[in-house]
Amino acid sequence: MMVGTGIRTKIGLRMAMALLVALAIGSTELSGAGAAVEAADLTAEEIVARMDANAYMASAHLVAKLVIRAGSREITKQMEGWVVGNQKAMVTFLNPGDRGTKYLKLGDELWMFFPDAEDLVKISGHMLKQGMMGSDFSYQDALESEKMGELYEFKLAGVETYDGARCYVLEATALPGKQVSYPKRKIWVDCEKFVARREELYAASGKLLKVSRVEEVKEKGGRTYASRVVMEDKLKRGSSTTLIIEQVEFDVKIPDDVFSLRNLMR
Amino acid sequence: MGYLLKLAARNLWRQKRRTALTFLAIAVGLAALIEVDCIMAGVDRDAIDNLINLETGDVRIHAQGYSAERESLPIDRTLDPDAVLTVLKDVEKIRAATPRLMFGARLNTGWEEIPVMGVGIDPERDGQVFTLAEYVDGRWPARGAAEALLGYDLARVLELAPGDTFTLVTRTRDGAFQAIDLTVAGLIRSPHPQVNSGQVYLPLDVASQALALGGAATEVVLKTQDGARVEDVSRNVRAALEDAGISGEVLTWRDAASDFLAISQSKQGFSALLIFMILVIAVVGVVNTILLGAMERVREIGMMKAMGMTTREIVLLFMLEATGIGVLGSVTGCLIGIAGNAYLVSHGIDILESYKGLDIGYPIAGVIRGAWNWPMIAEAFLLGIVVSWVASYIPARRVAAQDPIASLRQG
Repeated sequence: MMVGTGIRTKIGLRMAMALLVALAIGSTELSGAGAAVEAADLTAEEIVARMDANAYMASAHLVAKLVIRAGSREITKQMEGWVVGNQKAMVTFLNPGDRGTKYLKLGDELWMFFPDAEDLVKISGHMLKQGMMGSDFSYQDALESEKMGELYEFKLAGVETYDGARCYVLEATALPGKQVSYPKRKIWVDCEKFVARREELYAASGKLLKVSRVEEVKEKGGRTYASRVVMEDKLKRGSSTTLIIEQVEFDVKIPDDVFSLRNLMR
Repeated sequence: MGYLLKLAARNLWRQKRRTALTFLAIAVGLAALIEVDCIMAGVDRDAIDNLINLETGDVRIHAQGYSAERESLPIDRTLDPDAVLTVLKDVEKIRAATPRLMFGARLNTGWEEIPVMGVGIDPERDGQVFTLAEYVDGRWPARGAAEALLGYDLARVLELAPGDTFTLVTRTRDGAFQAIDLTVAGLIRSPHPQVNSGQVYLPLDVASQALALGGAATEVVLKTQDGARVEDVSRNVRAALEDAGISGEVLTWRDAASDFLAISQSKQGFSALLIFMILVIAVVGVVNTILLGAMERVREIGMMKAMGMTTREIVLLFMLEATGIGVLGSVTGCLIGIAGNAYLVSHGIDILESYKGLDIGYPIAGVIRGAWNWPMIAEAFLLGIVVSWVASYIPARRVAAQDPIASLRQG
């Protein structure tokens, strides 16, 4: 069954993560408790809608760690983030090498602050195609993520057991004329919790570029969220990025001035 | 006048060591000027040849607005190569034309990934405009084949050899990731360092399809017939494109290579500095020689004046001596310079070995050969003489102005 709808699959914390840490977008679903539903009863559209609904949160505050591995090298970045809906996100890096580096997303705009240069930069034009924080995830990917549902049509390819959990396997293909980074995606969605357990990202040629896997799922305040996500670059041997969410609070009140340019430079 | 000349020559001969030191200093300066100029002229000639033969062609055509964004290698401003080539058939003085597609990419070997410039070439036409094929070790890629040519330095860094495979990661026109698997068909060892270190050449049809461009190219490059002025050809091409309703930018290699030409211009400042240093050497040397000579010959000057020689004649005498030094310096300097030039022109300097991996912002690598610049040599010759002549005037005046009786007493 094919569906091409304006379904938001990239929202809330996941958006922030994509924005901030250049992680694969499809893998950091946070979700609430989902009722067990018989696999065959749902269409692709309904699955994506359920995933979307579960992932939505009004606001969140989190502390996370990013472990970047390239061969034998390993770099750890620590950060703190605030998210409101899918329009506002702010992240500040805490580890010594990047301390004070901040990203701010306000709607369709992305701003960055470098403390050493005391320089505020608006990411625009060709800069959007460059990688964030040394990753090969571009700023454009981060901005694009919230609109993913409007960019792809989904097809339910089947139901499989993945990592011990029954999962719907969804195939997403970019809608004609839409600008996306990955023309094809394959997503394994937990049949019970409606969390994306695994996502494969493909190039236009059909070559597999990246795979994200959820290694750990936690619950907090009645919500289920992916607390440990690994993103592997399939083109680089031994290259992976692990996102570990260490602390998270949902639906917290965040003052509006957190998401201001003044705060970015503070 | 004759006896003044004789006297000047004798005075120079009398102070052999001082004369030799002064004129040799001038000679070394002039020889250095000639050598440096010879190399610079050679570098310019080679760099321009490399630019035209491996990078810009004589004239090239882009889609409107491409040049302003050229640095970012935009692929959303493209041309239909077939339409442009059809128009060019009717333009005079064009020997050949070929389309190319330039795009930004990352070369991924599975363990390394580095940014490169992808260049889509028409395997059948490219050799008519560019000399790339002359520098290929291995096979020239075939139309439609997923194979590529790599710069030798790039291949060395990534430990790739002909027959190995790699992935070119880029973005399509719509911004989607694209991964093109390619086999290394051959390696390029050209005299253009950027070609060797940062470019991947693949068939245009393969590149254009992968980037979802439907056969489009970012440029069509022309080679003009011998003796044709590129400005004339570009004007004719512009007019022909306008007539055909194709909107494009037509650039000569001079426009396309403006950065390089700016560097080339700036080196003229270096030549000026060198000339200034030679002037200082000549002036200090000549003034010193005249003043020392005058101090030693105070009695002599006094006697000459007492015997009826005029101040003017004494000034002239000293200036003739200085000019003699200038002539000796110029002759010797030019002879050394010409001998050095002859070597540089015939043998050259191998900068590939001396400065491996050094990017000097110039499209040259390998052996740099000098080029003859006879007007510069003539200028250097005159410079030595004129500067010596002029520099001697003030000290000669000072010496000649002394009172003969005081001079005789002092001596």
